[in-house]
Amino acid sequence: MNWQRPSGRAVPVIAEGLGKKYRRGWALRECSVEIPDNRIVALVGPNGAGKSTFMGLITGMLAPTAGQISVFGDRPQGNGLHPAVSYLSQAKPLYKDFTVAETLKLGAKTNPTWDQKYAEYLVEQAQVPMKAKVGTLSGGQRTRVALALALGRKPRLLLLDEPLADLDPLAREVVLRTLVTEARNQGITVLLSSHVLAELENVCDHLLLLGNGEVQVAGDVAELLSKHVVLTGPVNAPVPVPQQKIIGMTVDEHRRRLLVPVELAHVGQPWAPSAPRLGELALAYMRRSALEKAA
Amino acid sequence: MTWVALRRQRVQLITLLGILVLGSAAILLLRSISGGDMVRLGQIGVMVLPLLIGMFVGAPLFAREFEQGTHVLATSQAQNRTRWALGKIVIATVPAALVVLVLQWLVNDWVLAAGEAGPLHVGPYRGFNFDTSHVAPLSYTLFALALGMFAGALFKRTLVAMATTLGGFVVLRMALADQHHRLVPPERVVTAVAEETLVRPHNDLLLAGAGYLGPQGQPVSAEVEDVVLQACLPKGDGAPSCMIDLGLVSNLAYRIPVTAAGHMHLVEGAIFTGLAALLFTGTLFLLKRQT
Repeated sequence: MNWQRPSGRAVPVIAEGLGKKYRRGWALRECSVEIPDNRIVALVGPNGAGKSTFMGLITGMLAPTAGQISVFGDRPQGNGLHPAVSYLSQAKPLYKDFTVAETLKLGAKTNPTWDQKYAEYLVEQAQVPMKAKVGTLSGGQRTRVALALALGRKPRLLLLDEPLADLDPLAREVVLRTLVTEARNQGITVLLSSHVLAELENVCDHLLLLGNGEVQVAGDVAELLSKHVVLTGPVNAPVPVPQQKIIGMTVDEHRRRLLVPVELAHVGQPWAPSAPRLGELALAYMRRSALEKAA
Repeated sequence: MTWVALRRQRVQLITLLGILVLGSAAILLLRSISGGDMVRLGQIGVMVLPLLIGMFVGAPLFAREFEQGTHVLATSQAQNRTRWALGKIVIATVPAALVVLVLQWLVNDWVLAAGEAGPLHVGPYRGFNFDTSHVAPLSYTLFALALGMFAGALFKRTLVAMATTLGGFVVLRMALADQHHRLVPPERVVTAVAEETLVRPHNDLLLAGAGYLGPQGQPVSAEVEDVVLQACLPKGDGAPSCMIDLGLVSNLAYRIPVTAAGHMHLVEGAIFTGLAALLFTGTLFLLKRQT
């Protein structure tokens, strides 16, 4: 298989029939997907969808049970992370007895591509004192230090597993803004896993939605949105499209909203078509995946 | 990487330095106060130290990283996992071994100074003499450390790793101590029954086996030996001639002489060091493997 684009620039991640099975069963199966270059990718899915497993397979901490995966043209091994990849896990582990300055020194000592000035800039921008012990920092500050450690390696692919989970809304916004700015400025591909769909909506330009351990939706956000439409109509009006074409449906006191393929947009009165939002689209697919699992 | 390991293990290194300073001071102080009277206390310290190092330095080394999730931090840098693990192993093992060697040297010097009035009067195999001399403390330390690290990498829980180190170390030490006489080939010694004292274990010898030979030099079974001894021993001075009359003509002994102590140390040291090497390799394998 050719892991490279004709231009010669390796694709960040290509998965082919990728699967991972634990004792409890398949966490990820038949996953064939490509993470394109220079995108901020939202990795979404309900709990147990396989998001962390997918990241673990990219880092090489997990070995695939089936299929194969390439990271910038290389097969992830148990030896360590690919030099062009940074990974920030959900727990954002840092040595609590290290100072912030010592944490950056750790980055410098263990990464040949380390950019000390850039890492210091990120920490200073977050107004985190260099001499403070990591254990004394707030959740938001710890996240900023962990992010500085991840970005200081000058990665081409940054994996972030639920990095905002334990932050308050204000800190979440600041961290996300920093992340997007740095990713755009440095040309980094970001794979961002999160449950907070509303936040991803504003920053991500590519979606990878997993459900039941399988890829449900994958593609550029603009293209995905252009392929779907929301039909809004009175709650008591007959549904104008075949049931099997409906991807998602929400009902409130007065209105019914149907997410359907864009080909079904022109169903006429009383149904009004409108463009879906990313969160709405993702949620509809997640609900459908949950229903399929329950069935 | 060395800086990270040194910084990360700073507390253990300071603790080891404290043990070295306080231990040395205590040995020198007790030696100056009591002469040879308290030398056994020093030997007990040297005997127990490898186990403590295995439990408190080896077991938490990787288990604590897993408990705190910081192994992900270490292994998600550009360094090779084997290099990360080796750095930690070396930074833990070398200082621990040095502390044991220095304290062992101080205690052994104290034992030598005490002379025959001290522990040496029971020879190299008895008391705490074997366990605290030659390569024994070093090989026990390497084994205890490796066992602690392996258990930590396997169970990923500090307390479980410490308990495994305690159990595994004590069981293996006791099992091998019981088999010391099998580690080197013994001397076969045959003496006349009348020279009974030669058969009895001398303090400085290790008796690997004993019995009696019949008139044609054939070994006598234990049952026959019991019957004859019960019949003859009540006769006091007449016992040897009674035993010869009833077929126990010569004493047979398998003895390990004092001069073989060094050989025995090397064999036992090779066993513990070999096991330590296997456990270190197993630890690296566990840390490197993908799940």
